[in-house]
Amino acid sequence: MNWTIDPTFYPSARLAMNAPPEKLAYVVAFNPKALSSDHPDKKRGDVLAVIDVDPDSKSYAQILSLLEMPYSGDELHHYGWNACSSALCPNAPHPHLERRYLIVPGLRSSRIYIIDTKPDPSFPSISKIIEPETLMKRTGYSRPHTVHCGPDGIYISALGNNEGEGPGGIFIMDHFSFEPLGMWEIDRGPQYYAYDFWWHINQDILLSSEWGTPPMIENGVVGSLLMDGQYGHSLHVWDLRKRKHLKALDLGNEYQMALEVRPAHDPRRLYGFLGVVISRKDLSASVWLWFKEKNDWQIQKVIEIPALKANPEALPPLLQPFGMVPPLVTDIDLSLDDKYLYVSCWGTGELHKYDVSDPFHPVFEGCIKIGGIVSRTPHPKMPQKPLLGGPQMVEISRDGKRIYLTNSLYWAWDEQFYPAGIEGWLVKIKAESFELEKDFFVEFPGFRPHQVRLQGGDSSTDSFCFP
Amino acid sequence: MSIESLGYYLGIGIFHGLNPAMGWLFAVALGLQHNSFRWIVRSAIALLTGHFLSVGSYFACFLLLGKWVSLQWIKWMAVIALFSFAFYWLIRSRHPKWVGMNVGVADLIYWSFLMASAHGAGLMLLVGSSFCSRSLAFWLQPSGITAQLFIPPAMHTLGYFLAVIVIATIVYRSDLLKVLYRKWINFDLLWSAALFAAGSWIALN
Repeated sequence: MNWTIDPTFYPSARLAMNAPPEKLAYVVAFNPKALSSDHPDKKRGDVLAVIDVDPDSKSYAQILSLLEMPYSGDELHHYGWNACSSALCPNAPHPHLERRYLIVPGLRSSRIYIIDTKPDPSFPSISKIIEPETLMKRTGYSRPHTVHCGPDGIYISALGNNEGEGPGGIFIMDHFSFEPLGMWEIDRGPQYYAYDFWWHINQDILLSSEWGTPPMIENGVVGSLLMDGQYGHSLHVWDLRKRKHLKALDLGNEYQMALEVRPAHDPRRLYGFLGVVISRKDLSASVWLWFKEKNDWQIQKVIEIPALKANPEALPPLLQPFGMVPPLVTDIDLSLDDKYLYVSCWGTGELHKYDVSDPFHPVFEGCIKIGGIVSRTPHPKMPQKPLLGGPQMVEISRDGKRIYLTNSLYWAWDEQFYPAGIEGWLVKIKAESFELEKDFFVEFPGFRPHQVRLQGGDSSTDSFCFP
Repeated sequence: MSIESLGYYLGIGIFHGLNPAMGWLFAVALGLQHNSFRWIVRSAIALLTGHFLSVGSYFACFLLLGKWVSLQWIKWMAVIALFSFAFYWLIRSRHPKWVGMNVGVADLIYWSFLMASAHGAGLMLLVGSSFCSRSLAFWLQPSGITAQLFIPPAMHTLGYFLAVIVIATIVYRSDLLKVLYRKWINFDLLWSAALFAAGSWIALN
């Protein structure tokens, strides 16, 4: 409990954009050997890496520390801060919390690590572990995924129930004690699949997306289910206050795996973007816009990215029958001014930039190529070395000037789409000129990095109650 | 009723109103969200109503109890209640989400009522009764009970309302939030200290 307010809390996205540049980036990376073979490193845990991202520092673009988890096979994936700017929301204010702890779930193990970034933010330490049994008993859920700091507690989505099947959903964690409190939903309506979620906080509206149940994802994508249109294809609209399902916005089962949910940061703007991985008709990927019109929530496709023709010999067995490489939009991120949307095409190895000032008509602004199933585009720092994996988790700095990108998706899916294996990397992009920073190429020998969190906050962490 | 006691009620009211968590910030957020100053006024009136209902019922409970229970009992009940609230705000300063952000006037009245009740605001008025050179016994006299019931909560709520409406208006009109939010000190700790002080005062008198 502090006497004064945490300086990283901002009442509005507008003010957060004036925040000083981040000096550290946190990246979770999992140990693939723990999941694959009888390798001697099988027993090693996943890591939280701290990267120096201060260009004036001597250790710029280097890993400062690796915090190894005491268990192996957690598969660290998404994670988030214990508290953020939503603590300033006037209905349930907690302005004297600190943005200090990282809440890091193991997607495969259902274990949750609470990691303290103090006293030395370059050398974080584990301060608490929530065991899978505790989580399942208290909340009825497993496979914790997205973490969002709410004004009244920490909200976490989970892909499966306590028996490893559906339905998945959301649970709440106390933001003082970090104890899981229980299931969030009171009335889930037709919702069954879970993945990501976020909210329009000033409208008391929560939105949740759909991937699949644990058996549908943990051993890789199931081709027959995909071709039958069985993966998630709806966005659910909820009453955040009454914890009640309001409406399912169905994209149609041509569209498979509706993943990342990115509402506008300005609480007066009632729209947001949803990334969809693949169309089973033509393997294209798409981005959808949900919006409120005439007092009703609606959704429409605003971006479509086609699959590219490819020589079947260059494709993994899964894709050979199609002779095409799908873009596979696995992450999207919206800058704090709601102006630019960045779209990761993990399959084709591209990061697209769109001007979404008019959200109904995104304007394509540019494309960065790196990695990719077929293209394997190298980084300018090592122009001879073909890279595997592709743009995946994308994070924008608060001022919108820098973008960070990692390349691994999820172990079982990595193996299917990149059967030669993925060597982990993190790159940095100058947002304005939209080019890779030549000197910034961080490798993760033996590990595969996933989500990036920036010190003090980024563009997919904080929510704001003031415009 | 003395000037000092009226001043005390008003002052405690202003102190409550200064705390951003007690309402003015909510009024500003609603004003900005709806892009309308009318929401500042509407919110302030709703907040006032909820606050008055809470403080009034606390005060009335203790005064009416005084008709049946001895003064000593009242005194120690008040002390225990004050200390309990003080401890609560010291060690468990949670602000549950009683309402969302998409609120109307009725929600705001409800929110303000709960917020004032959870902070034990009404108890502080009781302290005023012994604080302002009057013994508790004076307030528990059967004569003029209506005035005694009504005036302290009303004065208190007036102070609260003035603070809320003035701060919310200034912050809304002059876009002061970007400067002012940085000064948000920990009112929960301050409030806890005030409750401790008040409890001790009654106990020692």
